[in-house]
Amino acid sequence: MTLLIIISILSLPLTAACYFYSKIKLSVLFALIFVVSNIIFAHGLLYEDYTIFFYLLMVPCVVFPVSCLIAFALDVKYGIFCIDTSFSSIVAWIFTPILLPINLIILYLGN
Amino acid sequence: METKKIFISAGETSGDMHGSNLMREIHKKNPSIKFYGLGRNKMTEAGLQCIRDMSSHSVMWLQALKKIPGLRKIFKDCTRFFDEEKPGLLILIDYVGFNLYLAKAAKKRNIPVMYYISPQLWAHGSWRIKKIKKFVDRMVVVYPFEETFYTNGGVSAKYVGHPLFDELNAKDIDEVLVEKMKAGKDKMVVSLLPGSRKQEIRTLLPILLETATSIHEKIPSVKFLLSCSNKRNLELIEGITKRFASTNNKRLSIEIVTEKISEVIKSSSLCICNSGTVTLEIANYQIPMVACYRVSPFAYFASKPHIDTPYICLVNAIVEREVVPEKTMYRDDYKWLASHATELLLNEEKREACIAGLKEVTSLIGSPGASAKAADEALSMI
Repeated sequence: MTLLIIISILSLPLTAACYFYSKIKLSVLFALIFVVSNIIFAHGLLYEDYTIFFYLLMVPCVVFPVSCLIAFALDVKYGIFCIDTSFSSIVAWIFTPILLPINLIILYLGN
Repeated sequence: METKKIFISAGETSGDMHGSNLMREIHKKNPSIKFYGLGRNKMTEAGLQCIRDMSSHSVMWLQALKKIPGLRKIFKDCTRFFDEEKPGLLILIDYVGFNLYLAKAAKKRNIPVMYYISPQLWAHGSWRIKKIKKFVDRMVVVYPFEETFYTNGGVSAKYVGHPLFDELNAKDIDEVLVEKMKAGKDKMVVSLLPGSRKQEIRTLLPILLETATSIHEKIPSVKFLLSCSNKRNLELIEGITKRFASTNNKRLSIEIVTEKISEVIKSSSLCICNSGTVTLEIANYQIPMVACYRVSPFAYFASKPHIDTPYICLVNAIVEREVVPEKTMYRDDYKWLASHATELLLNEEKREACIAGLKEVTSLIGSPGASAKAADEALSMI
């Protein structure tokens, strides 16, 4: 669990730094580590006793921003949408990082 | 001569102005052409049969979300018109968020599409060129580097020059007012140009006022002019200026001048402005300037990887080097603005270098005739 918390905490600033300096592939890798570690983290904390809350948390913090990012990636590759989908990165930066403080608060309250 | 229909769509005030000039030029060459579409008062005056007035649809960022239902209605009206009237050409003027949808709808109906005043894809989100390639038949561009950008991306593009210079050439400058604002030969005049959108004014004007205060501390004899591009913004500008004076307890004399932007620029020794089209107008009068663009720290962070140009300021982008100091700010960095402004006011060598650079810019894009050339392009497509 300690290792998971460390990975969850460290991967966020690494994602941000790589994103800011336009190292996109590296940023995506750290973002994946952040998302996966936080899903596992939240799963361990919530799934057994608060299954609905776990899913309620996953929809805005994971499903929605990841869907937006997939749409953005497809748009960059194939030019599918008329709208400028670069807002997806803003959506991802607003919603996904929330997962970490929520996990840490739940962990703190659980202890 | 057979009556042909052109559908023309412009959402912003500047688009309305350029659209009206283009319509007049097309009319001169082919008086039988009828114009339908989306515009504002200037295009309506030029003969547009307006399907919807776009005066209340100029939006930026999150405000756009509120306008989606209204824009959907307008879009439906447009597609109905395409189906019923089959226009011979669709001309889109800037306003990419909405106009690209129209381009797609027109393309589906085999209506040729010309895009005049390109969205600034070369600056932000260059991958969007794929969409332009899909939906637009010809880009009629206003900066020389845009032609190369689109041609390299496989899009047919034609550089015609910037229509702003048509406007400026035809403009009657009030020289008496210019002399009055100059207030003597030895007096330095610094003008503050916070932009025309309310949102821009709210974010930029307080920084410009701080900058003015800082300049005034270093050079007390400087006179300050504050340009209000539109009467509708006067209340906002006065409010911010008064609030600034009262909260900062600073006695700074600033003259607010409404709807006289060219006169304000011409009477200035230096302009401090945002980095948009106004920089071209300032370049036209060869007045040294400092340009800035204020964004929130989060917007700065989120948009940084999508920025594809080292220069946001148009003047610098045209000559691909820093002719005028420019900065995208995520905090109120008025000290940076004030130090560059003071330098340009006092250092004759830097002033001369800046003016020489601005002359280079106007020699590249400053010749009039853009609207007439764009009209030729439109007529060749219909």
